[in-house]
Amino acid sequence: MSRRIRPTPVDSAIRRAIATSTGQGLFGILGISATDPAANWVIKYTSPLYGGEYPPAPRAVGAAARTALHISTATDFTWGTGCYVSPVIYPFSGAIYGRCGIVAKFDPKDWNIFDASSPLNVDLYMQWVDWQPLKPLLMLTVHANLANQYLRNSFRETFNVDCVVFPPDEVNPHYTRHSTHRWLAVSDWASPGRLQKGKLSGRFSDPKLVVVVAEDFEKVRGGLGRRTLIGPQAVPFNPPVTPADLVMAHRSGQIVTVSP
Amino acid sequence: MSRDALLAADVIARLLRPGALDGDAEDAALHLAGIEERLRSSHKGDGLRLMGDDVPVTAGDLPPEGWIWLLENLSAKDSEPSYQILDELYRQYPDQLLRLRFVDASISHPAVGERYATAIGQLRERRRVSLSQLPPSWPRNWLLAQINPEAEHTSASRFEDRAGAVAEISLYLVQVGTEEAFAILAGLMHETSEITAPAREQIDTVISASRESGVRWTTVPGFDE
Repeated sequence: MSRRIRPTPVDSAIRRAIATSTGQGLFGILGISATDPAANWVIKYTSPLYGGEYPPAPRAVGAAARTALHISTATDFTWGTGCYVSPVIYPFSGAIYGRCGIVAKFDPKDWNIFDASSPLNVDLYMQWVDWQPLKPLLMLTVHANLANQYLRNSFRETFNVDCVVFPPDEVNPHYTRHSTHRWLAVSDWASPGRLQKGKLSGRFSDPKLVVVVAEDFEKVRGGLGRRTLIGPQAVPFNPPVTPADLVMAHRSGQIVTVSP
Repeated sequence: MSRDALLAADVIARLLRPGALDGDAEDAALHLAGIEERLRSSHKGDGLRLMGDDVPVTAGDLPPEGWIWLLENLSAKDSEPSYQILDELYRQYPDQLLRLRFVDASISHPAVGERYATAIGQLRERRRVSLSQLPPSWPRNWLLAQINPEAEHTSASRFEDRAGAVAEISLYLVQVGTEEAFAILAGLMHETSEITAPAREQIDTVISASRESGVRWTTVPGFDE
């Protein structure tokens, strides 16, 4: 029902690419073992306005929206509508988006994965875009964000992609590395082949505020980068905080404060 | 959904615009989730109602991004949007990308999928299902209104305008590319009215280009020969 079925000449190649990434599994793509204590954990950063109390008191305004991680519907997100997180093995990669790191558990077993950190796979996506009947409209519209969101959602719906792995597209030399870090755009499904567009994600459990980073950032280079306003002048952080530390803190209900 | 709630949703629409908040898009998205929660809880779990005479909403109540957010976000618990609102939106926004997203959203409601399941099954059995035999949906009704000038909601009266309008929406449906969209297109392909000729030619062109590149359309009901 409501599945996108229009075929293109690159569909088979895309399905093979997804099968390969899915066969590797998310942990394989990330280069970690499934037994790594941090493997099944993600982190999502937000501002203290929303993340300062997570989960919030039951009667707080908008409390239900913070009982889980949310699905982002904003039109300018890299891979369309989805729940955006970093694997906790990159504990500070998303800190450019806010001081509060919300840690949650997940299980990516059986996820269909599209690895957009592979240039070959990105090229397949571009070829798929070439075969869209309204490509000229979608490429030339003034509403670039609406068009890109539409294309990426359609792609993920067509190929039932549960998770897109992609390199950060906003960077900071100390926190966020394009070449080595990976972020995830995770799909929730409203029905087979149709993304859930809004509401809470059912993919992650037990989200808690675990990290507070004593740093603030400023957009630079037209939003391509984020400049630290306080520090750090060099990594590692002092004292060093490992992904396993954050998992332990989640379990014990502690909040870890990280200073530059 | 009450008019007040819809007007409150204007806040949502503004939040969808990049840079609308001082903070980041993540914050905006979370803020949005909170507003949605409050909107829905104000309706005591009955779902949002966007159809019926008692819902005095108009296309102008939300900016287009807000409508797209709202229409794409409707679940089985929510009513389908009224065809009148969709007519208004389509008429009010000639921008092709907005129209594409309105068309897509109009047939993405779960109720449309349920209504079309039988017809899609018939098409898969290679049975012919005309546009008028298909269950109601906004694009199907809109197309019938263009093909039959006596029908209500005919937005353009000149033959050439209506033929162009039919061709335009047919391209949106090809782009949407869902089973329901192709069921409507299959119905359109069986229309013999001259007014559908440019649309049928356009659809043929898209499919032929794909077939010439070795693509088999075996999975597409109504286009699988």
